[in-house]
Amino acid sequence: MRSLAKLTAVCAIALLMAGCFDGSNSRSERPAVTVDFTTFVKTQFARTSDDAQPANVNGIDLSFNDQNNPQAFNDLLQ
Amino acid sequence: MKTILKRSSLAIAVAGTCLATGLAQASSHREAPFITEIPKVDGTDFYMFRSYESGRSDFVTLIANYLPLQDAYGGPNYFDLDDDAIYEIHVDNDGDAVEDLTFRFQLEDNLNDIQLPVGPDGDQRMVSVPLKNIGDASNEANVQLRQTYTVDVISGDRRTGAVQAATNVTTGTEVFDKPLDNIGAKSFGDYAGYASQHVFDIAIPGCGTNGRVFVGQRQEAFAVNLGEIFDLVNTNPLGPRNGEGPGDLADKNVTSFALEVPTDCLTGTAMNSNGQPVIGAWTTASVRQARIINPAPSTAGRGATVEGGAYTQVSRLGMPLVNEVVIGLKDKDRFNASEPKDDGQFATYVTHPTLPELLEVLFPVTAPNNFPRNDLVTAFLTGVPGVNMPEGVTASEMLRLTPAVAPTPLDSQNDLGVLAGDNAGFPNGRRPYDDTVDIALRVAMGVLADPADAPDGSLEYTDGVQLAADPTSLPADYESFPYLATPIAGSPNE
Repeated sequence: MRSLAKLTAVCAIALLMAGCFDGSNSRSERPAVTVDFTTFVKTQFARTSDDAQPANVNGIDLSFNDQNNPQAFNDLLQ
Repeated sequence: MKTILKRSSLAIAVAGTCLATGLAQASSHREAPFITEIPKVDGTDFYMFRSYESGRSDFVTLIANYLPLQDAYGGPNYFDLDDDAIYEIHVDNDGDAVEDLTFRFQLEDNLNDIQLPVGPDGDQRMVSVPLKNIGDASNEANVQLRQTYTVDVISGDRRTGAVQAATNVTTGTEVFDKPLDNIGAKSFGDYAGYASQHVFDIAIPGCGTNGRVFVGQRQEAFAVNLGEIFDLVNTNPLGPRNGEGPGDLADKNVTSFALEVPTDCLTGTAMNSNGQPVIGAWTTASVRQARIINPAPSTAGRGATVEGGAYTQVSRLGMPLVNEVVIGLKDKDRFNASEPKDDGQFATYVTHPTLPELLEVLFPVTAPNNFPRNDLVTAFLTGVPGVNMPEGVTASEMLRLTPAVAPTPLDSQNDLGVLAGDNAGFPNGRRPYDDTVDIALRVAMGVLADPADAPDGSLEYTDGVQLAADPTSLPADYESFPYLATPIAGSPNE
């Protein structure tokens, strides 16, 4: 079973990178960061709290690698 | 209290949806593309006024309406609120466009599985019923699904400020009951009486005097013909003020968060030029940033969806009609996700509004030509000097009230508010009776501008709909908290 902690760490790095940008400038001016959508969502779940700030999605490229995988989010449904 | 990761899905419709950024949102009735997908968190109207119920003039009432266009017969589920969302009323009492105080409402579903014995002796089975209630719905034992709520009071930033729970004075707990919607006359012998039992005294942390709270279904009070307005104003804007009937919303219900707070618990350092306090307020709704649909909902485990992530604003509402007829279509979702402190990004929509130009195209009237439209900035972004504009105010869109103005009893209210000399009405706050459509039309066409710049500014623009031509004809419900009428019943239908 994949480690959620590992996923979280990977995504946290990606989000930190994404967080360097406010999403208001043209994407051509900044390097694209590609994040797996499934991982991104799991990262959001891992940081659920009432005082959390929403993650910026404008500065990242999302790759959808589980479009045909109905089990991709099973660990969040346990 | 809700769990962090709630419920849950089919393949995976990640409301990826809902991977929005940290901006907030505003609304009216289905006014922005995204909010139409999540009506339970669609804010429709926001009211704030010095309480005009007899003996309550030391209080301010705030009402945030959500979940628009409810047809009363919408069973069997009717119109419960979103138990995964937070509904908030924010108060800025120092004029800097940042919340200083937030009242946060969170709903919780309470399932009471009601089963009936079905089948003959020897093959009898207990089977869950499909209805919301069996028998008298005012008896909790007969109800399958009802909602309760909590109210948190947050000082400072809405997410990182100090959080304290308000207390239900009646029960001594932090839980308040929300009445069921008005299913109909067979389920409720006396719905008005039943609903009135859900008005609670509330002990607000840091406030020496108790307030009152009610969350539940009410009859829609916003008087407008949405159909005509959005069909290129398919009406006579200079006709009789009540010439277009009761309005499209007259047979609809909404769900209200009504809160009455001692005035001195809301005021701060914001003062107008006369040294009188000014309160700014607006409402928002937020949902968790991510949602996963459960392909196998379970009554014992996860439900239909699982939500997670930070609360992300999807609805914002202060002054009426702003996101509906001021903000451009492409920016409506952005506005709903925004906060007042960042309203500079929308300033052009106010200083150079399109609505008057559209009216000029559609009708033989002349739009004002004073640009930038500082008269609109005053009405919508700063408040009126000497009335509800705080000294040193940060221009931003919110409802502003100086509670120094004595409340006008309902029977004496003028639904044109300050324009007609009733300074206890809109835009000094907003009362349910105020005809904000007519007021907004007149202000947009320049009633506050120099006549040389607005040659048709003195015309009596109207959408032809009033809540009532005469306030004395309104139901008694409008005279006292929660100030909105008993909701229309789902049955019998006329």
